[in-house]
Amino acid sequence: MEINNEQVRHLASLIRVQLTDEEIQTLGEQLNGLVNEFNILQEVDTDATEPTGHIADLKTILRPDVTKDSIQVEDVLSNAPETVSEFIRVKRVIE
Amino acid sequence: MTELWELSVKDAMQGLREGTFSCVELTESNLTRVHNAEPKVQAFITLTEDSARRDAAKADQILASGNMSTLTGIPMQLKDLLCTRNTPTTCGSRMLENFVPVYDATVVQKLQEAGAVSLGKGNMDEFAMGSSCENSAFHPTYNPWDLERVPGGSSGGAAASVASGEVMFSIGSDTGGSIRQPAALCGVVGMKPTYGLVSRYGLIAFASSLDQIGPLTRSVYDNALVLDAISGYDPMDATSVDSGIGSISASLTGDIRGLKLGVPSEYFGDGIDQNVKTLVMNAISVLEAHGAELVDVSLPHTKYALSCYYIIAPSECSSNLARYDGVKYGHSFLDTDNMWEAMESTRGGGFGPEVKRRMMLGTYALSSGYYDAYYLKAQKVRTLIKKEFDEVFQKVDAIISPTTPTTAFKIGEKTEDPLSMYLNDILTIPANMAGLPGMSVPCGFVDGLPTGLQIIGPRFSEARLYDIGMAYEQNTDWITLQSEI
Repeated sequence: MEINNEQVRHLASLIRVQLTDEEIQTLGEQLNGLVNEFNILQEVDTDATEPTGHIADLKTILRPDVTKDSIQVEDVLSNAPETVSEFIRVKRVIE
Repeated sequence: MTELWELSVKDAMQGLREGTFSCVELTESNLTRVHNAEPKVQAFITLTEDSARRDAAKADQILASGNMSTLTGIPMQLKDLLCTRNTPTTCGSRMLENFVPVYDATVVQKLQEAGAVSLGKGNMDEFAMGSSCENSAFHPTYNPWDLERVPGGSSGGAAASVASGEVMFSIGSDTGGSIRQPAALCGVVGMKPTYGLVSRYGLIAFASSLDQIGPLTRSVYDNALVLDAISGYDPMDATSVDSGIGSISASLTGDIRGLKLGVPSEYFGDGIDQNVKTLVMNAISVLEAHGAELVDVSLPHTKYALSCYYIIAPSECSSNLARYDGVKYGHSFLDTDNMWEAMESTRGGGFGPEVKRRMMLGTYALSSGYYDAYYLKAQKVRTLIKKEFDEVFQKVDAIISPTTPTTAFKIGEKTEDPLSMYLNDILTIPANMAGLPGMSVPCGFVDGLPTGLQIIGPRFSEARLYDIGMAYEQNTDWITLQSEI
């Protein structure tokens, strides 16, 4: 199925990325090419197959409840674009 | 006379131990090499000469006190997606151009404890997405064997810095071939360890179920030495494994008598350059001559691995990269009061084309109506790929193949067509899908360009892979050849 420019715009809005019209055009063509290629997977019989999310043998590990130093507030703030006293300044969230 | 920078890690350690030269002399030799080679190769994003000189002086003190550690005084490079406290870590992206981590990755901490001296941060494709290093937001890296060609990627800076002798080892990361492919294209040894053997804490994430950190070196033994220093369980990474593996380097013999090596027909099919195939078949004959038994095997789902990977990895990346919102750290577009506008401008301006493409692709595969057909389907095919490896490893001890379909291609040759670029990873991706260790060892040249032999084994079989690599290396002389940079 063809991914049209409208869908490309929708995807861009989902990932919160501003795209130029030119980028939308190019990405649309490239995504179509790639998704067509990926359709090869449909020929594999997976009816009786469970999905694999990762191959790690994960188990819950509890650590001793010991107090230790964490990263200092001023260090964390050192990379923030805008700060006010000990806080990161954000844009207005609720209008 | 051999310059100090030309030494292997092993020989440099011996020279330091015997007092033939000091850590400061060694680091100065490598820094001189960096100054000569870097204008042509451009393997670094950030050079840290001052701290390298300080660390080398400190290493000399440690040496004098008799407390030499496993890599004391050895000059190295770190791929620029490993967090380094107080040293910029860009991930090859404008998004993190001015980001200075406030903590060290576990791997970085371990290397510091082992005494290694970092000369700086290695160039890479943006967020490790790419197979040529051309997606770096800052500059490409050039292949030391032919400056008109790519070094491979995404750990292109790592492979080029080792191949040109700028550093004795570099640390890369491999999600679908990003250590092995550049290692093959630059003629160095690259190991992607078993998923979970090396902690990912402090590694900037691309696709968390596939990413793994590993070393690039000039020799197989050096590679094992470095892996020994960085592997091990880490409580800071929930997927790291307490494998109980001790020192691998200490036990290597290069003895492969009686080992059964699988040769999968699917890895020698269409699209693999005939000259590359011939070199790999020659390498396989060398292994056979030294006692390995060859077994024909089949991995029929190999042809689905590429599509499977390019659904799963972008899906994971679209989720991992959601954190770059311009609020907490990184590039930020501030010229608006509207939150969404700020975020969309930040991300639109901060990410390069390949990263945007993969986030779009992943979001498509995960979105309502397409999830079952793409993401879930790919996860199921992943199960089949893994199962197939498990079955083959009932019959053989390791699998041997080419690392890449071709030798290094020209800069700009594949940038217009994403699929042709993605096809570079066709032979390396399956090991990531199954979490298996995979190594690339130099196995000769086609028209002056290096080629790699790939060795894949069951989980935690790194020692066996190194023995196979060592057996090959000891019985050929590719390691003695150097690029004429």
